[in-house]
Amino acid sequence: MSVFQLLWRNMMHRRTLSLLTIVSIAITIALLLVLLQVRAGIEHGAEKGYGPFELTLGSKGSSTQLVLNTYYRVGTPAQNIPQQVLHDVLKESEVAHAYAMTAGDSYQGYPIVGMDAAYFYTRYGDQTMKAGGMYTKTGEAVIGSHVASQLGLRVGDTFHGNHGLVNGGSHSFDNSPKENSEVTPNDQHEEAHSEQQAEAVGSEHHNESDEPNHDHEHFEYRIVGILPTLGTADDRAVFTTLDYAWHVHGITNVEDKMITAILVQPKSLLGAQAIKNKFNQRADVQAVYTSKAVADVVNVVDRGTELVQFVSLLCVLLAAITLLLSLTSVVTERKKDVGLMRLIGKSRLYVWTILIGEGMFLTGIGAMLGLFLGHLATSFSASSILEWSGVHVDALRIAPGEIQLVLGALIVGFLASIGPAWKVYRVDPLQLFRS
Amino acid sequence: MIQLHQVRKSYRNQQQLLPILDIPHWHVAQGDRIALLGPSGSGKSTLLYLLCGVLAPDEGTCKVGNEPLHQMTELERDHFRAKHVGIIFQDFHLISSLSAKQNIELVYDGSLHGRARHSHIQQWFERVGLQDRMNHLPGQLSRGQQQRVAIIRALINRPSLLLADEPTGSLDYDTAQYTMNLLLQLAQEEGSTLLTVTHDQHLASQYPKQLHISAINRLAVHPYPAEKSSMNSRRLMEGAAT
Repeated sequence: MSVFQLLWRNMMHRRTLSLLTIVSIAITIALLLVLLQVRAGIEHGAEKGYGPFELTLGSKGSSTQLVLNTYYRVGTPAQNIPQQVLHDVLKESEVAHAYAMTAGDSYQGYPIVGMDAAYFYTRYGDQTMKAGGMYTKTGEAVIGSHVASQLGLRVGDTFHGNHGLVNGGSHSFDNSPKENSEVTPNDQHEEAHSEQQAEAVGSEHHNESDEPNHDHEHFEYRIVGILPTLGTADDRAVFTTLDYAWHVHGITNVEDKMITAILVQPKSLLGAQAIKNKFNQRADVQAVYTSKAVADVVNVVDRGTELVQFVSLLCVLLAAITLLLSLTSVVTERKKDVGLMRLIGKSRLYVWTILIGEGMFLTGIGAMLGLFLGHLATSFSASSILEWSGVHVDALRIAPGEIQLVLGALIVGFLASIGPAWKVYRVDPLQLFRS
Repeated sequence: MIQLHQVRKSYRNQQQLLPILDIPHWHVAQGDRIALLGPSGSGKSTLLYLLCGVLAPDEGTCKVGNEPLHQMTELERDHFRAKHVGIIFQDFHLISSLSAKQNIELVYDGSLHGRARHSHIQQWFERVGLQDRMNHLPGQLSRGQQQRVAIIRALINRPSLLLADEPTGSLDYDTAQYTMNLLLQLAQEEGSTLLTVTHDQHLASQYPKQLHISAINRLAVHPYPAEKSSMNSRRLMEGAAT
């Protein structure tokens, strides 16, 4: 009889306790794996999230808010800046590409972003649209792949936007409608909107916002294309021409045309520094290094995950204790069996190996099951995580640290097995005669 | 088969050394079947421990099948026991999580594989009349049946030495009679040297040889009856039982 067969029979003989031990280990591993996956998603998103746009220009205020909203569609947009700033940026010789962005409206909770179509070519190269083509005129829109799959939209469908990032009946990226109401592509609209708050007019195209929607009702978007899955926050946004906000709100004066942010790809780092310095001197604009703002956010997230990691460590400790208890009861139960094995000629090392093997086997099965459950849970929740946080989690990807997680589990399993195995090692075979 | 010379063994009880066995010389031939009798504490079990290599003597030489147990390390004695010794206990000590057949496979020396192994094990179960109980767990077998499985386990690898410690001690009279006869018969068929510790003089009388170990204070092994033993002891007749 092989050692493996013996291990298996031993475990099956105590299947309930073995199963509980395995489940305890599996849940711990799954929990840790989901954390690793989310963390990898955050870091991957942080790396990939802003493409080549090393500089971001927007209104004075929080640089984090500016970057998070511009690239990750998280939180409320910053205050607007004059469109003239874009013209000034484009005059800079060190600018390779610069795109203005307008934001503030949404459809079914997904932000509507006004952006020059060339942005996609600069950021993603010439990827093929999943369906249809790129927008070319006002009123045309392309939607991210996640938006398309979640809302079941297709090329040719039409819809009306909603003011702010709130969508009645579905969740919002910002829980404060009042705050959202303050975020508009232009100040004029903000005022108009405030006056109309009591109207509570819903969109005929499934928009049931509490927000007044008077202007938006008259502006219809037609979907002309669906973006491929890009693995960024752009998957959950609706894109249209930069001027949509002006049309929606009837702004015709050039001086009144405002934009939310400018995404700048500098030609060089030195150039970036020069542009940053220059525009930071202006009273109405701030220029920030995108990477620095993202790094600040990741650091904050890291600090937040420390608490979660602490709880996870407690789970690891509990799983190790479960394993220890299980194996300790094995030793108590099987002292005679161990004595017998010693008497029939099995060495101390053999019986030690059997118990360590059982601990490792339980840990190994628990770890494998945990990996499976972790990936499965990530797979099922990826869409919700994306919706909720804008973090892309790839369930099929092996997360950084996943192999270390399994090795760590095996080491903890080994350490938890050592004590009981030592007791087995010291079992006196003569006890069988004495009994 | 067994050669003991000037073997002494003591146990330490707190600070005191308690002598338990003192055998000047003892020789057992291959194939002998001996019943070992004696009062509690006389050293019968200690003798078994020495012969199966679980204990090492304090002094003297202890050879089984020309293997010098007294010179071996613990690991070497483990290997020796696996290869040359079969042991039967009063309480059978089958592993409860394994079926009767798996209990046998646990000790199987690996000389046969696959179908041949299965067939070999099956033949053994047929020899003890348990062919239809091979896949039963020990808890599903009667005590007598469990002891028959334990006998197969002890003999399956054809050990040169078979040690039985009160093998019928927990069986009823008829089952004990049957089991003892079976043990004697199988040991003879396999050519194993059988050494059985028992308190039952009636069962012991079925053995070709009986050996009485004197009370602990005599520190000697004695033949019982004297003329049937092959033992040679300096204090052979000292306190010999009749």
